[in-house]
Amino acid sequence: MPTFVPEPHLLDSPRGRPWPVAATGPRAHDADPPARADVVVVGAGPAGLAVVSALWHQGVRDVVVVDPGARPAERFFRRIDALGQRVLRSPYEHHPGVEGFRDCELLDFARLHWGRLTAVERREIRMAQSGHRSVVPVDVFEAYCHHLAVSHHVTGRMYRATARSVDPGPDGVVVHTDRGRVATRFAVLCPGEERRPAPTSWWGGGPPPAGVGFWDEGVVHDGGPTVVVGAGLTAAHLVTGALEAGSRVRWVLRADQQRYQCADVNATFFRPEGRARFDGGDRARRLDLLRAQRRASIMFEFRPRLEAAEADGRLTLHRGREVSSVTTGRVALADGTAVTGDRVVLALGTVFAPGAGLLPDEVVAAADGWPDLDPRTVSYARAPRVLAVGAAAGMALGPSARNIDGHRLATARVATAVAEGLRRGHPLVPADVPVAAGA
Amino acid sequence: MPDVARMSLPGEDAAPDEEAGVVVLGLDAEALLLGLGLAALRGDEGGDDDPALVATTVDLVRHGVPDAPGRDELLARGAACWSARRPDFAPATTAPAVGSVRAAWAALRDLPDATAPPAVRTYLVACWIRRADIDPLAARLDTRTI
Repeated sequence: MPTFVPEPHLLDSPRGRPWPVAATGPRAHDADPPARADVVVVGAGPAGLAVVSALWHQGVRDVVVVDPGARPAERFFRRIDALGQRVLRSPYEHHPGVEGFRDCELLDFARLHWGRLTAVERREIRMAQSGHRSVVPVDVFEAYCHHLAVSHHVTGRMYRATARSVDPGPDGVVVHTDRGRVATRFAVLCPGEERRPAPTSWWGGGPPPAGVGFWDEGVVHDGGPTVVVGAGLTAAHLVTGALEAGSRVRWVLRADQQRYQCADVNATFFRPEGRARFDGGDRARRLDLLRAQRRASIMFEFRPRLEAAEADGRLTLHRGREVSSVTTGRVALADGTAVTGDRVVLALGTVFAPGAGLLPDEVVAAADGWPDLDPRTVSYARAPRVLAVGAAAGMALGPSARNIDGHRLATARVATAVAEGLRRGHPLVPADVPVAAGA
Repeated sequence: MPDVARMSLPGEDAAPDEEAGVVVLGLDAEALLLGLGLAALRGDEGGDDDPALVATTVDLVRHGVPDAPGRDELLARGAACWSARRPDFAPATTAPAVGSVRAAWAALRDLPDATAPPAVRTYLVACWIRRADIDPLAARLDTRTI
């Protein structure tokens, strides 16, 4: 049986190397958004970037992007840098660029900048060209996102505002923000996912105790003993960062073992056969697949380092343990034992809100935690002028919906539906047209 | 483009200009002439002529980015540059055919004037290899005889 040999040096990609840009482009507007627009995109992460880029190619130009950031994907890269992450787990073919319009793809973008890449990074490109799994340096992805944002006029459509609620009506949608409201014909929700909060029972709710923090708060590794709670890739980054700073690390995870795999969902779901496997199942089967594919997992590349650290005693794993409470410097476990350290960092995963926390519950019509979406357009069945890209589309598109690959799939449907809806003057699929099972 | 499909995968130690050149070869004729025009313009102005930067700037031009150079101006400049420099490749007409675009690139990379800036050389070589597509477009854009 052949064994996958991980390449730990992939994790050493440089971050923040000088990268030439063809144009800096405009800045996001630090002003109230306009009162009207054909389309409002809520969220300028990789999904929002993909949607606006695709809409541009569909000829849809009257677009307002609502996001608190100063540039597209600002939170995405801030989170990445908070973890010290150097590479993305997604392969080269997964990117926010638009297919079918002779645009520069991520892989060719990287190859154009061949001289800026390390030998290991170049090898990954050859892997991608050979049809194998690949890993993308964050530097490359960030430069590509910038290029997409400038070339598709995204940043100039951005308004630094936070969406508060979305009110759909029969002829339009009103997006309420902290800087005013925008009346629009279509709203596309691309809010990304929020960090999963700790159970209230751990410290009684509210802000965490001193010395206890979350993964996205910018952990500074100072070499002191550190406790990490969580089982996924984020936890692995935190553990690795602390080890590299010279810390002794205690790692608490609920699962009996770390789960190592290439992508965070089974790679078959990125391909037609996997999608067919999902689409062909009934709702119970889909729910099972979605549950199974949301389990925490770690990139293979971490395995050698983590195993070596465990073997030489720098890393202690507490597997199969439930946390019962957390106080300053101490994580109490359900079996009565406790793990201590100068710092406790929580990496409990991410969560999404079925209506992005913006839509009324009766519109979301969530069942089993999933909103009622029309898979043909990824629009809310009870509000066809509101569409969703990201994790919320899982029941419509399959387990990869939360990944950049899933964004691509959703974006293509959303852009087509919105452009067609604008041309016709009404949504592509009226609310009263039933959705065929398995569509 | 059929020629690109003939490319075999080389090692990761390929020269940066060769890798960028092979990517540029996959562009359509208009993008090649835009790139040649931009590279020539920047070469004349003593600006940054990184082939990657030229290729990404051309992408901006084609997306109508306001700060990007003018499309028509670049196309005319590219066509004129191609007309002027095409004879540099006359020796290549008797060279043996090679099987892959990467090999063709390596065989031709030194044919343009050695003093030409790297991006100009990159786009000139690409235009030569793709001359069946480039010549008709350049002829429509440039009144001079190719």
